[in-house]
Amino acid sequence: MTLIKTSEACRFGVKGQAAASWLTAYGLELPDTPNSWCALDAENRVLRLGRSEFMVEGPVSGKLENVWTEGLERLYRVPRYDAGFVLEGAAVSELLSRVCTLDTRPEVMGNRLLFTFVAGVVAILACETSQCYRLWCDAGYGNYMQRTLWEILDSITLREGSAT
Amino acid sequence: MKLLNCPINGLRPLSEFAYGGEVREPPLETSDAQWVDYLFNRNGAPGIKREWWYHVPSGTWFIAERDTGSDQVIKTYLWGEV
Amino acid sequence: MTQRLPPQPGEWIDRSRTIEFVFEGKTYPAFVGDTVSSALWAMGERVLGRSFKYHRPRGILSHANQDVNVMLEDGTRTNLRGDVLPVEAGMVLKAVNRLGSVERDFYAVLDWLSPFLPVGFYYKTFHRPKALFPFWEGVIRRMAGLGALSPHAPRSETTKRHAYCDVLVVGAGPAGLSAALTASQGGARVILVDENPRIGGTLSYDHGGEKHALDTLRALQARIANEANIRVCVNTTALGYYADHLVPLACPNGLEKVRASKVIIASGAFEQPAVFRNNDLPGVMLGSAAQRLIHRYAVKPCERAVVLAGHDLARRVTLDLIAAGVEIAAYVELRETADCRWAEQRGIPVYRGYCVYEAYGKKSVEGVEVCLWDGQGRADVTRKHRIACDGVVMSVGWAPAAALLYQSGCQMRFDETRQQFLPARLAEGIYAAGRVNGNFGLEAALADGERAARNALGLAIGSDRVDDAGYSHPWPIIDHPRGKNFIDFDEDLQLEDFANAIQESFDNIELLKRFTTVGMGPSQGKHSNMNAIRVLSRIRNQPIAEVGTTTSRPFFHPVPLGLLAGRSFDPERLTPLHAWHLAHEATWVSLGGWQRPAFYGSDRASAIVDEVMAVRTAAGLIDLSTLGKFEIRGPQAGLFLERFYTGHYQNQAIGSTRYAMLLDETGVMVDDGIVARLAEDFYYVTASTSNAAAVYREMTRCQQIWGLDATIINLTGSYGALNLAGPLAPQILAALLSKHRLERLNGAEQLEIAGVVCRLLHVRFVSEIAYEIHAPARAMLALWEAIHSEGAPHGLKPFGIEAQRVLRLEMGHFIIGHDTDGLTHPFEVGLDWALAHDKPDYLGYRSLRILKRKPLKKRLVGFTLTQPPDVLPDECCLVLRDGAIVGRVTSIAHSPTLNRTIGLAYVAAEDAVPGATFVIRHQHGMDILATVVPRPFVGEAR
Repeated sequence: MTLIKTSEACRFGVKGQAAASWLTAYGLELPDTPNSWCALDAENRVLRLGRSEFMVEGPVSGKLENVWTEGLERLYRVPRYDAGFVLEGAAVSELLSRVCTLDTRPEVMGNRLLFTFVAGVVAILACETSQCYRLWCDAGYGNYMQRTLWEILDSITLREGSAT
Repeated sequence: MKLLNCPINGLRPLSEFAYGGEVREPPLETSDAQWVDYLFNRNGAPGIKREWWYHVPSGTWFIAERDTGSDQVIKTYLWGEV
Repeated sequence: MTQRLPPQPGEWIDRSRTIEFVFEGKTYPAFVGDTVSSALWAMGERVLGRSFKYHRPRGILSHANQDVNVMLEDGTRTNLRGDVLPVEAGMVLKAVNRLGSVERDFYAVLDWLSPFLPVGFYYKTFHRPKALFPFWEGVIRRMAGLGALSPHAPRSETTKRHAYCDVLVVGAGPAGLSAALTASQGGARVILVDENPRIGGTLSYDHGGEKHALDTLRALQARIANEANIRVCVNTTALGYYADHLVPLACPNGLEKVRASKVIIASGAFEQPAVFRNNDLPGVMLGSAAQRLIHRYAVKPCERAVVLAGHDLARRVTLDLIAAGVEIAAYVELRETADCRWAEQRGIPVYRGYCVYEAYGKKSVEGVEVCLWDGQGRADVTRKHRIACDGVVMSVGWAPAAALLYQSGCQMRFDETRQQFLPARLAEGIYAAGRVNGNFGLEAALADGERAARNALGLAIGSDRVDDAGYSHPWPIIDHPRGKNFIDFDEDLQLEDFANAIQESFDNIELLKRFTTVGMGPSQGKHSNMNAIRVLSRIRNQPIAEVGTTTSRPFFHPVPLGLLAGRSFDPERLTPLHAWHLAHEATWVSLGGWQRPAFYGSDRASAIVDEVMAVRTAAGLIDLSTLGKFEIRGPQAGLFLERFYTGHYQNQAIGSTRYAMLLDETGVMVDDGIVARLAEDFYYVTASTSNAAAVYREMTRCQQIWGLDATIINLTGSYGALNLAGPLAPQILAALLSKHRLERLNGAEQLEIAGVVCRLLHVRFVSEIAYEIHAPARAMLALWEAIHSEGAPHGLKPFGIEAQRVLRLEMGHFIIGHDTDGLTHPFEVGLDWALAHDKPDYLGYRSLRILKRKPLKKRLVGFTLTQPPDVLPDECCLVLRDGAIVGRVTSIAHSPTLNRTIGLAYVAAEDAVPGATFVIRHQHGMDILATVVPRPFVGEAR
């Protein structure tokens, strides 16, 4: 079971009625429903937060930063300061059952983004596979989240001897 | 714990929400007495109330129509969509 | 092992593993799988506990956690129920609530004093003289009670997790097993819970002298094991039912909160005791208890038993006793017309139409007196027989284990034929099956479970009650002039206690429960509520259906608090500069979830003085990253702000800042901040740390309702901020910008400092000269370090919250929520100037028109203490005028800059003039004189 903190990843946030068209103009494929996500490739993904707000994560957000121009109509930059985590391994579902009240099975989540509380903190949860989840929260809670998830992970693996 | 159906996020436990008061139209052109009555008095009789609810993690405001006698939520919808 | 039987098929003990444990100072052997009670009973121990009030000797009654006759402590944990506590090697146990030993309890004298200790006695005796009551209270509390808490109990970590399933089945007896299998085969994900160490329910003990039950159990077990969709949880109690099918489960090492789509309650029924004199003697037990001892633990309940029967299932109990080698001294059948030929044919002495009048024995039962009776509680004592025995097995009736049904909103009705409460109307998604649903026979229970599951899956509708027979005697209660016929064993309540309570007019079920405390013990009425209802019904001459029951509340069994506590989440939010503060010896304070520096260094008093003086004489730097920060953008951004806050913003010059006050509908001050206009349709707004989330929430709601062409972006988390304050601040900033640039600075603008694109605002909160600089969180450290390294050689110091409080006080500024409360409106704090009067409308405007006309009762003023006491008055000390309370102190501190005590307080409006004096009531009781002075305090020639 691994827990990787991806806080240093580049993220680019944008919102407004023109946000979707601006992003597609740069060749990005967007999720079509609010509160869902899609992977552009192995390193890049787009999260649709609400109806007209997006966050792009990965190297492509650097490109978007470069082409960003202030002052376009109905298009606003949303500064991001997130702590990101990748939770991977056999103990993931047990870990999630202890920090989240929702049903996080892949068949239930699909490509939806769950806006909920994780370990008492407002967070966004996405499911890649039954053994791989992504988590985002405000970076101010990054240390706390990492510490808490590790502690719980420890107690899971300690009890059961191995990460199953 | 009770579940509430957020129009955007679906069924969630009540702990994810904050209550925002009854949906009320402030009366226009009122006497002072009528205004004070609007501010401080509420109708507590059981019945269907329209209430503001806020889904905290996603920042979604919506309306819930709730039968306060049976505590059943009849429907939920975003402001502007009935 | 004197009472141990030869191996019983399906027994729960493992004879290959013998262990030892200590009870009341003596060592006993046991098998793994034994409970403490079964192991002790096997060794011939009979007095396993002492009762709550009268300290009467007690033994096994239900052996199913439906009574607490056997309550133990092990030095760490307390109130352990011996009937369900598995023996572990090396356990050292004592009975609770006795003085001396359980065998010789000195408090047993209370049993002799019982005539003076009727129910509610403490309300009547011992209360005069009043002064002595505390003494008696202490004595009574010591003599009646449960186990003692150990202050040395180690902290245990228990887990708390959430789970989901399609069908939750509570109870793994025949009905529950059948329901689980049917549901699983229908494609549902099933969680099956049972509080026992193994599944099976009645199949594991109610054999009736045959093999059929056990064969059925084995077949069901095999089928369950084959179903991947069924998760079996044993040693797990469903604690209660909460809204929308949330059922918390108490598991061995933690709590599991299950959210199910459907819930099937197959929780069975509690066997009820008969009420006769000395029915609490060790050796008097329920039929099901005897069967559990025999079949699960291979323990012979007694050598020679009298069976007290009230219904046809008593026969099965008798046959199990016979198969275990127990001699049946008598079969006492309460019903005159029952068919007892099966017993007579086996040579059992049958007493038809008789009751047990009383049991006798010193510390365990040695015999009974049986009498002919009228079926209504009165025994014909002229026709008495004495029968020697060492066990009385009662099989007289049942009450459904319907707690979860009640909690889910199910309506039960009392069925007169079956003499049992049955589910009448179930809530949506809830189903009942098995004995709790009135179906007692094995085939009936299996069919009922299948039907319930099919209903749950939507494959069928409707309920059948297959079993028409009743298995509860309507009145298993026998009067006795000398009493000690117990209804509630937990609370030591006898039959006459109920008559007395009703005589005192506590005659409705809710009052009766509270006065007698029936059902309020750890068993929560499992073995007592039904008889109490019968008694009340008889005395009030009301049918049971009208008497009703009391509210059933979670938890189903008592739960250790540690299990409920589990892990709690205590989120901690850090600013982007956290590491820097840490490296510079910040002392922390937690405010609004954020960790913030209170001051730097270890000595609070001197640190505050140093930091305040630094800001007054040189410069200071404070981390304000916790402030609420919002961008309001769009063509109608200014209009939005004008409707939201009290000031004018549409005509605000670009590059300027204005004060922002937020009111609620009633005109009360909610928050304040700064509005900076950075461009035509671009405003940057700040809010206080503690209200940031609430302000954003309200902004988004108003925006939805007003539908203006404005977009709100929340930067509270993604931007940090700092305040550079003090006379040297401009010089320090100039070194980073250029003097020329500094002179051309607007009230608010975006610019680059030390390579960081920031927003700079002139804000005079802590000092006349101060710059609030906001920047993206990732860039904050570079910005802070640049300013700090430039300023430190000139005396710049970082300062924390404590110094900030003093500094802003010296400037005469109030803090909303600290100097104002939930009723303070702007006129009381002299903020009339912030209220625009020519705007169409804004939040709170309508109420201000009323408030403006009302004469002020109090006003916020600045004050100084000319002769401050050594201990300053606390904040919230009252301000008095002619003996009446007119206000309070809201802020007070010693000002290092002025070397004076200054503060803010609400005083009577008449006293709100500079020079006036007012009285503060100090927390130590004396009155302090204070003088009103104009604000700000700093900058005055005094």
